[in-house]
Amino acid sequence: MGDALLTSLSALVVSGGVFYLLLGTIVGLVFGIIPGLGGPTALALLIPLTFGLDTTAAMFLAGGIMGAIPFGGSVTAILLNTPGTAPNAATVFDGYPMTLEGRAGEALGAAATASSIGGIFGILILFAVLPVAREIILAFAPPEFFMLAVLGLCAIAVSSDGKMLKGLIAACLGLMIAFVGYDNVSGTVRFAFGIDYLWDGIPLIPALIGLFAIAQIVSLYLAGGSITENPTAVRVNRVGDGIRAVFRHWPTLLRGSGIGALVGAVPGVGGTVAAFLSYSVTVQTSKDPESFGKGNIQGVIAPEASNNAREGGALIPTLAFGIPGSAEMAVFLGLLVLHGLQPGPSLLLNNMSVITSLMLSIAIASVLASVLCLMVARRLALITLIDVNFLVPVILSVSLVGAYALNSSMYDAIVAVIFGAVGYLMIRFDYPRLPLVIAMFLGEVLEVSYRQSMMIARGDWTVFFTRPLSLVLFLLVILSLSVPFIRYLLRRRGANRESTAP
Amino acid sequence: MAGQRKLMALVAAGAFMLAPVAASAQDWPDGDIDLIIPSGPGGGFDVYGRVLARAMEETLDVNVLAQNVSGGGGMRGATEAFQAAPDGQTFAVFNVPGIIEPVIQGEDVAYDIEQIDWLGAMAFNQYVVVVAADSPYETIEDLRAAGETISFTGYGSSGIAANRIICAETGLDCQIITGYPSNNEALLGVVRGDAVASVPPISTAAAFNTDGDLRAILLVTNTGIDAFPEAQNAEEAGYPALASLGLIRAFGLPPGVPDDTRAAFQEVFDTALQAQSVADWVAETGNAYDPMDGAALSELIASQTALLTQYADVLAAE
Repeated sequence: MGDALLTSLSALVVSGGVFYLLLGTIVGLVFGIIPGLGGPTALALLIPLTFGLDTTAAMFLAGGIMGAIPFGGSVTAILLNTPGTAPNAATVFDGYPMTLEGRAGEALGAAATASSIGGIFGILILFAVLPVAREIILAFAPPEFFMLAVLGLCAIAVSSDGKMLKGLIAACLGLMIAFVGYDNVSGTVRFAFGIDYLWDGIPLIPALIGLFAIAQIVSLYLAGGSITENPTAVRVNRVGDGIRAVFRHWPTLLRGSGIGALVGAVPGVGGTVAAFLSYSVTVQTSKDPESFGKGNIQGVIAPEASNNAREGGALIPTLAFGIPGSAEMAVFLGLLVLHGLQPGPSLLLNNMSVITSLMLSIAIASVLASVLCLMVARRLALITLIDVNFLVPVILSVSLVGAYALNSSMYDAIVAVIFGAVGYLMIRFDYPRLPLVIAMFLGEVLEVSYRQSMMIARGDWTVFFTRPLSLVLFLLVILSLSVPFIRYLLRRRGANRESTAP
Repeated sequence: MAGQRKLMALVAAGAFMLAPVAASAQDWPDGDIDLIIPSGPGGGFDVYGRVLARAMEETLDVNVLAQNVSGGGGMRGATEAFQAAPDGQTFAVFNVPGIIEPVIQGEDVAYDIEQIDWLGAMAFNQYVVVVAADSPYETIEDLRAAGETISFTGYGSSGIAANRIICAETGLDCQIITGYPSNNEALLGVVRGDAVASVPPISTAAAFNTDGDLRAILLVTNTGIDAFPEAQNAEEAGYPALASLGLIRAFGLPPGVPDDTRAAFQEVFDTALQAQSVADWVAETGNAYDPMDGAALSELIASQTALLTQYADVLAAE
C-alpha cells in the first residue's frame, strides 16, 4: 500500500494531478451548493469528459468532486435552511437557527472545519478497515438493513424535539409517498394512477428542492426583510470562532466522524442515516439537550463531520464487492468500468494505486473545499443581510433549473413546485419537513428489506431478533426512543422535588 | 458563443426550409447524433452505449451524444427511440428482453418490436446458475434431488423472468427473493446466505468471483465458459432451449429511415463495432462481447420471444 501511495503522490504533484483535483473540488463545491445538483449529477456529467484522461487523472477529478460535494451542500443548509443534498439535511437543525441569530459566519467556519477533519478521518478509517472489509459487508443482510432504516427514522423523530407527533405524521406522509411507483419486490407498479411519470416513483431531489428551497423562499418573501431576524446583530467576522469551536468540541467531532465512516459503509442507507444518527447521539449525550435546534454549534459539527467521513465509508462496499454505498458511488462504478477497471476485490490487488489516488484526492478535496469556502465565508454570510426581494428571483430560478436539469424533465420541475406548496403549508402549520424527506428516502430500503427478510426467513419474524447484529440495532432503536422519555421523567422528578421543597 | 450558435442554427433552419427536402447520404450526419440509453448513467446499457458512441466518433466528424432516458425497465427509452424522427440523427440502445416482456404480458406499449430497425448488438449476456462455494450442491440435479423449495436471489425483471423459466424448464420448485438493487447484491446475498442460488449474467458472476466465493452449477449457454470450467452447460444438462435466454445489448434505429442514410449509418456502426478501442475495452474489463449483425439479432430476438411466450403463464404467476 505504501508504494501505491507514493505513486499516487507523485502523480498528484509531478504529472499535474493537482490541476484535476482543484477542478474537481471547484465543480463539486458549486454542484453541492446548488440545490438539486449533487454528486451523482456532477459525476454523470464528468463521465464523458474523462474519456480522454488517463485513469489516475480521472480519479483525481472524481475524488475532488466526492470530497467537495458534502460541504457544498451544507452552505445552503446553514444560510437558507435548504440542504443541498439529503445527507446535509441534519445540518439545518442548528445551522439555520445560528444564521437567524446572525451567527452564519461561525456556523460556516464550524461546518468547514468539521467537514475537512471528518473527511480525513473517514479515509483513515477506510485504510484501517480495508483488510476486514469483507467481514463487515457480509455481516449486514436484509434484517440489519431494515433495523438500520428504523433506527434512522427514530433518530429523526427524536431530533424534532417537542414536535414528535407532528414529526411522525410528516414521516408517515413521506413513507406513503415513497411507496408510489415500481415495486422492486413484486415487480408491479403501485399508486401511479395511470400516469407514466409515476412509474419510477416521486423523485427525491425535485421533492427536496420544493420542500426546502422553494417553500423557504416563499415564506421568506411573505415575511419580508432579510433572512437574519436582527440584521444589526450580524457578526460575519466570527468564522474563526467556528473553527475554534470544532477543536473545543473534539469528542463530538470524533464521534461524528466515526459514525459517518462506519454507518456510511452500509449500502443504500448509509450517508443520510449516519448524519442523523450522529446528530441525535450528540443531542442525547449532551448535558444540555434543550439548547439543540436553537443554534447549538455542536449540532452543526456532528452531522458535518459524519457527512464527509461517510465518503470513506461508502467506498468500502464499492471496492470490496462492486456494490455502491451511495448514489455517487453508483455513478462512480460506471466510471471505473468505462476506464477498464472491474470493481471488486481484484481492484485492490491489481490497481492499488488507483484506489490510493482516489482516497488521497477525497481527503485533500475535503480540506481544499473548506479552505476555499472559508476564504469567501464572510461574503457568503452577507447573503443573510440581503433584502429577500432580491433573493427570491435568484433562488427560485436556480432551484427550478436544478430540478429540471436533473433529467431534462419538465415533470420534475412540476414536482418541485407542488412540493414547494406542500412545504410552505408545512412551515405555516409548524410541521417539521425533514421527517418527510428522510422517510421518502428510507421508505424503499425499509419496505424492501422487511419483505426480503420475511422471504428469507419464510415468514418467521423472529429473524430480526435472532441475528446478533440485528438485535443490537433493535436495542439501539429502543434506547434512542427511550432516552428523551427517561430524561423527561427525570426532569419531572426534579421539578416535583423543587416544588415540594419548602 | 451560445448566441452565435443559436444564430447559426436559425440560419441553418432557414436554409433547410428553403432547400428542397431531399436528405441524402451525403447530408448524413447532419450535426451531432443522439444515442438514447434506456437506463441511468453507470449501468450496463449505459456503459455499452457510451463505449460504442466513442468508437463511432472515431469515424465521424460529429459527436455522438448519449442521453439517458431511464425508467419502466427500458420501456420509456424504447418508446422515445421508436417515436424519434427517422432521419438517422437518433438511434438507441434497446433493453432486450426488457421490452419484450410487457408485450407478452399483454400490456399496452407505444412501440412495435417488429418494426424497430435493428443495426446489431454488442453483447449477449447469457446466464449462469450459481451457488455459494461452500454449498453442498454441484449440479442442477443435486438441487432437484434435495426435494425442497430452493431459494434464489434475483435482480431485475429480465433476470427474474430468466430465473422463473429456468426453474420451470428444469422442474425445480423455486422461491425467488426479489428486491436486490443489482446483480452484485443478489450475488452477495448468496455468499452471505440469504438464499441458496442465483441466476446472474455470466460476465457479472465471473467478475464478482475473483475471490472464489461462488460455484457455477449450470451455464445457461450451449458452449463452455473459461471462467467456470467445471460447470455443465445447458446442452449437456439437457436443456438446450434455455440458451436463447440472455440480456442483449441491442442497437436500433426508429422505423422509416431512408435507405441511403440507413446504409451510411450501418457502415459507421459496423466499423465502430470492430474498432480497436472497443476490443481494448473488452480485453481490459472482461465484459461480454458478441458482436452480431441486424439479421442475427432479429433471429435471436424471435427465438427469445418464442421462449418467453411459451412460459408466459409462469412469468405472469406472481
